[in-house]
Amino acid sequence: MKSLKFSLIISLITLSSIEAFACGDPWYLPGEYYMYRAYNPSYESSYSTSERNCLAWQELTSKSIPLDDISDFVYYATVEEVEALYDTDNIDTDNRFAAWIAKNDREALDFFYLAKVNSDIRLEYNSKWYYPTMDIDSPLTLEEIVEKSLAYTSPRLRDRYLLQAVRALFTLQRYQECIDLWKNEISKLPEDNVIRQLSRQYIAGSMWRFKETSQEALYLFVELGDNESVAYCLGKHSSKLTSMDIIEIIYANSPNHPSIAKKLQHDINDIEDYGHIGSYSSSMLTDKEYFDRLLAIATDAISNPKVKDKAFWYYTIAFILQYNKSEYLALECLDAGMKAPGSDYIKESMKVLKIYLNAKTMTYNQEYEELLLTQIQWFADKITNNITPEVKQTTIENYYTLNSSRSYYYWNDMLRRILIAEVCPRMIKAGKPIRALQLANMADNFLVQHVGRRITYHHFNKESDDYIYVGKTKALQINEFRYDKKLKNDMDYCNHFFIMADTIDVKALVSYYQTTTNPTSQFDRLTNQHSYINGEYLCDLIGTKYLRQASYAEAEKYLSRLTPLFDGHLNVALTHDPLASRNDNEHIRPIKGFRHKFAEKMVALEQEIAEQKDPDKRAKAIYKYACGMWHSHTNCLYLTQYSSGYPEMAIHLKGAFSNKSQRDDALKKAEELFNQAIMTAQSPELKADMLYELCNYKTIAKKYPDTQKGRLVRGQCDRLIDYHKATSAYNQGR
Amino acid sequence: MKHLLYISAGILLLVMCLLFTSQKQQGAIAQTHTTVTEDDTTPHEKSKAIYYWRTTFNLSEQEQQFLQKHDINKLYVRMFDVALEREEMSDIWEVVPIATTQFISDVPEGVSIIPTTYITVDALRDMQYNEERYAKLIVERLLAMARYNKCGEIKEVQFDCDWTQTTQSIYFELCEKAANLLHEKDIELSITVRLHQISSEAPYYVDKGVLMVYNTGNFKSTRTRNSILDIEDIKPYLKARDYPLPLDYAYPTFGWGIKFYNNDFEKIVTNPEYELLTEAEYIRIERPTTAQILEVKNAVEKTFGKPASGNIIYHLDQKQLSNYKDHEIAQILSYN
Repeated sequence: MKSLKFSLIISLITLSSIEAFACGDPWYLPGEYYMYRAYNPSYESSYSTSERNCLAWQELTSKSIPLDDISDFVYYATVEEVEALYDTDNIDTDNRFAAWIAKNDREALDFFYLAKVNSDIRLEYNSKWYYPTMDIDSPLTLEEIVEKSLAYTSPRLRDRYLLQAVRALFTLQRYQECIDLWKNEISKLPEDNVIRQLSRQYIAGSMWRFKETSQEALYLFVELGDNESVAYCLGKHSSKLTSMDIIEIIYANSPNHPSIAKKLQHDINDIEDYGHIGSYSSSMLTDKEYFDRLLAIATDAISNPKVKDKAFWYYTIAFILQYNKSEYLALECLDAGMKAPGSDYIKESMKVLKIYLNAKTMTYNQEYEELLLTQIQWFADKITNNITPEVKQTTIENYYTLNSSRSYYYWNDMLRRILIAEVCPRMIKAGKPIRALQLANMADNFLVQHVGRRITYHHFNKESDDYIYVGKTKALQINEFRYDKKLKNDMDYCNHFFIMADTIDVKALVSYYQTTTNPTSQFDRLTNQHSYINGEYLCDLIGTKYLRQASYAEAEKYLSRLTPLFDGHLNVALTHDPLASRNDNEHIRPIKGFRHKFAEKMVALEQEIAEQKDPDKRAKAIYKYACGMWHSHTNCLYLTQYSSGYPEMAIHLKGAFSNKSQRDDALKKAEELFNQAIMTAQSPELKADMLYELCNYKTIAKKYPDTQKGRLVRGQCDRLIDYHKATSAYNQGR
Repeated sequence: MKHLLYISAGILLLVMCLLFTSQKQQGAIAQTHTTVTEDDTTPHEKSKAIYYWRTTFNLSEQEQQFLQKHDINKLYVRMFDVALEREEMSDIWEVVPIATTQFISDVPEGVSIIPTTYITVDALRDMQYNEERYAKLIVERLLAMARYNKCGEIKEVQFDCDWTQTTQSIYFELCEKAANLLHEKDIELSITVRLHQISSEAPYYVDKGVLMVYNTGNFKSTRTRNSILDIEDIKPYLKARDYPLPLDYAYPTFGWGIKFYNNDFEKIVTNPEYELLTEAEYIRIERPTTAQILEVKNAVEKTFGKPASGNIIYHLDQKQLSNYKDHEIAQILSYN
């Protein structure tokens, strides 16, 4: 039954869409991690065009000049500032690049003067105020700039002067000359030449003016990511341009272009996110419309002799098939794709998709377990071997819980998605809760364990002058974090393994605990190796579950294995005496090992109840035992729960406070025990005392009027009744 | 049927943009006289003028004939509006020219062009402390457009703005800076004057004003008889007073329908005959008659005197003008 309950919870978790958690909790659920992975980011230069331009200037001048100074001068210096550098006797600049060229490089200075004047004139021309025949106040005309630029022939700055010429010619609407310069010189520069790349937008604009080069222009605009221009070329309003329009153009012109994979990954991740393309015009394409058009391209691609990476297209088709719930067809497609030519990168993505589909389609028998073992071993190797400093740092910074971005480390994300969202619920359904616990623990803890550190924010200081809050951070070893009493342990009490452990049948958890202490299979050993295996943590979970169901002897057995240090691991402490009278609400100092001590006392009371012959003493023991049971679900909730029920920590993961029926059962049982205690007692004074503590004043007044409490009740009836009412209301409200 | 409605709505929007977004209305200095150039005009002779208020300068044959037939020798041409717009890339609001008129047909011979611009109040507000810069940009652009489109010698430029008390100082400053630039080139600056502005001060350095004697009522009100022109709406402003600028007067020769739904204003319709009406809807047709215009003309001249240069009509649109007979147009434009 409990297995079923967990299945339901997990199903709810995995089926629900995006669920917002309170700060500190995971923002997305494992079933929502992006899976489609087609674009290898290593294709991209790590520098922007402007950064590469500055690096090129550094190369041309001096490597000792900081890039920031170069950037400031190249992109922000004015004509007047450049002009001032000609007066070498009075150079007044903090910019080291400006100072250097003023002193050492007249050739570069001349270039910058021309480039800045060119820029100013073009700015005027491009201003919305400009109208042909308007006078522009400038030391040079655009025609003169063209002339001077083309007159410069030295190889050192030739490409840069060509760009200036192109810019001026374009502004003058001399488009054919722009194209000629491109064809004769600029296009012959290396592909990665920054000047060549900067020229492309002008060339595209020029080419668009002529019918014979308009298609080439369209493709250049696509490459440049200039969607406004693409839309214009296609005769569409940019708001009507869809991402698929762009992909179709790129595919038609250059079917192997890496930007296809980049765009597809972006778009399909959007669909994984929202069910439609979020970029461009979000309302333009549904996932079906998008995928229909994409399938048309992909189907063409797998038989197109020009296409090199056919595996990529098989993978894309398989992904669409699985998205449309055709898992078996998707598997067939993947098998075909594995034999097709393709990069290692895409073959790995295919393998992940296949593992995912296996998890969804196979029968959960021994054969699947053996396959799964090899698959998670493969994942373990991938996670371990591909971890980068960035991933490490992000993990240390607890990115996956704090940042709203969905995925940051593909291998770990996919392990979590496959195991937590797919395998664990099916394992439970298949009657294998231990496997489910093993896999959930591994999925939740693999990366954190591997990285082994965690940054915490300790203090926030307000700087009075400018009201800036500064967080002081500290990186702790992972166990330091777990046991730090001042920090909330949001790893072990706010993850999917915890929910599962907290809601699954306690016997399954006990069995799981045994596999951690006595692994009997390779599966046990592998999962233990990559999980958070802490006997005290597991015994506390087991003991707490036994406390919740009032199995105190069993609870004591497991809780006795905890050391006093374990209190730091928990997020909760005991603040009230669980064996005090039922309505006693006094705070107490925290007790170390509170769950264990409570279990011990309850076991002792059980023993006394069983052995005590004196009815009054036995009644007192029953009463106290009932109080303990009552308090363990009310004032002393943390004896049986890991969260108070208020919005923090594990409550958001639905498990920790969901044992309402157990709580109700326990409170009902405690009520019965209170009655049993009163019935057992022989002394009227004792009966009246117990009734008084239970606020049954009317019964005291009626049945035990001559006892000490009877006299008290009769003498202060109104006040006590008021008090009684207030107390009842208080208890009901909890 | 729906298509018809959509088309009507589209046309209506366009017209609203032209007529209201800009809220232009201007006057001109007319010189009554059948000869063609200013140089030929003797001081006592007055001209006849008309506004051209569209985004495309494309005169039909009838419109050209209309100019000739009525000896109209001045055309106030809206060149662009000056508005405040958000620049998408930088996300910065900036004052820019919009709806620049595209010249398709040539400027007719013998007609002087007065380049005119409508300045929105939002744009005006944003010009504060940069009045000189914007005066230069506006003037240079108007003259560049006139030059580029072969509008002939420019003797006058006109600003149209529905300035308010809070923007008065900015507008006056802008006018002063613009007038300075224009006077260096022997060009006059005129401004439009709305009825509610007639009791205010006038900007220094400006040479002329055109009193806009139309759009006098509240078109949204069901109690309004004719929002384009109603002597009753004008009367409160007809108090003898020395306005500091020489004034010409602009009169309306257009009409429209005001559509109401349950007595609430719904929209302005340019082709009321094509509108479908439900039981809850009705259209108030507004088009001043010649008699009404002449009555107002008489009252205006009685208060402010004869026009300094001549009369102007608003605006050159063959379809609208076809509602008036030739002799009626002649009466409206007549100086006597």
